[in-house]
Amino acid sequence: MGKGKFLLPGSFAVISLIFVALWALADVISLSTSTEILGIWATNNNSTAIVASHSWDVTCNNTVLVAYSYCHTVLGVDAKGSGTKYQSVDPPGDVHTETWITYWDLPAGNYTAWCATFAEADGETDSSSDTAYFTVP
Amino acid sequence: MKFSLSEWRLLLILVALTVVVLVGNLLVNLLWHESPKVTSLNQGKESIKSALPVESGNPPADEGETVFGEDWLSELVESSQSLPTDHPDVEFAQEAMSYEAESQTEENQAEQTEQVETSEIPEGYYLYEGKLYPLVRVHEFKLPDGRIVPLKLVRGKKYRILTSWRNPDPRPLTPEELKYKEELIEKQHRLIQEMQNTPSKEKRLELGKELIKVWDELGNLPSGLCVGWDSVEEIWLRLPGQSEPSEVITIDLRDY
Repeated sequence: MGKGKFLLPGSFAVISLIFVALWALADVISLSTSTEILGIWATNNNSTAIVASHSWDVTCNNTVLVAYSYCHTVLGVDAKGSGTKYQSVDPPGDVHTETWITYWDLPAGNYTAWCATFAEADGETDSSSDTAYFTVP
Repeated sequence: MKFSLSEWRLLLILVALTVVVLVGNLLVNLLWHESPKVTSLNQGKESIKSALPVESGNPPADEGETVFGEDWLSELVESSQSLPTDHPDVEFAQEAMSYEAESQTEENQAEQTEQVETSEIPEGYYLYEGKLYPLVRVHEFKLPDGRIVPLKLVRGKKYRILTSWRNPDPRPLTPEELKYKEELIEKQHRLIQEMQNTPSKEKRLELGKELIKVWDELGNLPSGLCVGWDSVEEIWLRLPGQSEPSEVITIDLRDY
């Protein structure tokens, strides 16, 4: 059998082995976010509280830096951002949940609350949002 | 069509290689998936819901529903624990900072270690996919006023960190500020929607960077109608294979 006949299976084997090795060694990261408006309430001080749960969850096989941020918006009226926060995460990963309660002095009327979460780690991104409607009597 | 002996050999070699590659891929895949997976977000949400007194006669509002007249926040404040600054897992300032420098040096050394045997895990470390990582991490927690509190967090435990902020100078926004804020609000809304509809990873990253800038700008603007906020932040550093935290520790930084 000539040498040429081994070229195809040889290349196939080498390329496959390189592929498997790269796959095993590569950074594997899974990132997801979640946003849920838990409730909109009136406080004793006559302000309105928007309560939302903001989560991010990262699974990784190497240490990564996660940048994340939240925002509460009363659409067309006002918004408050949490500012960007950073957290270093070691394998196998972290679960991070924040219940953020913002208080608003809103005049009577109908409003839409829109809350969002964004996270980034090692080039992977994810965002999520939730909307709720409410009335201030 | 008849194969000669050499052609049969060639075919067998190809089949054998394919089997090797497939088994290899399967093993890599299994090893990765057998590692502790992400605890579902729903579980996280459930824990948060259980942390809030929403079930004690104060159900949260569904979409489109309004609930007023309940001061559940005071219950939340009452239910929280006192500040455990003397807790062995929580150390502040200089001590924690010096520990961080020390642990990072150790971490660098540890990361250079290849394929560590399970029986050789030194105290204060855990093994993950052949590498050693420190069990304790110093988390630089940023307070609302910008100060940094270094918290020594132990892997395997869950930390509930309470913070709050009150607007020191509540005032209506000027027409210029209001206009600028409205532009930012519209922009962030558009960016998120665009991100959620974009399949390209690079494009999402680009949009995300822009979104962070917008949110940072929003954070720097006067707060207008927002008079304050309270936060319950939960950080759980999972150990490999861990499905529940070994301990839940509350750290109250509201008056820190």
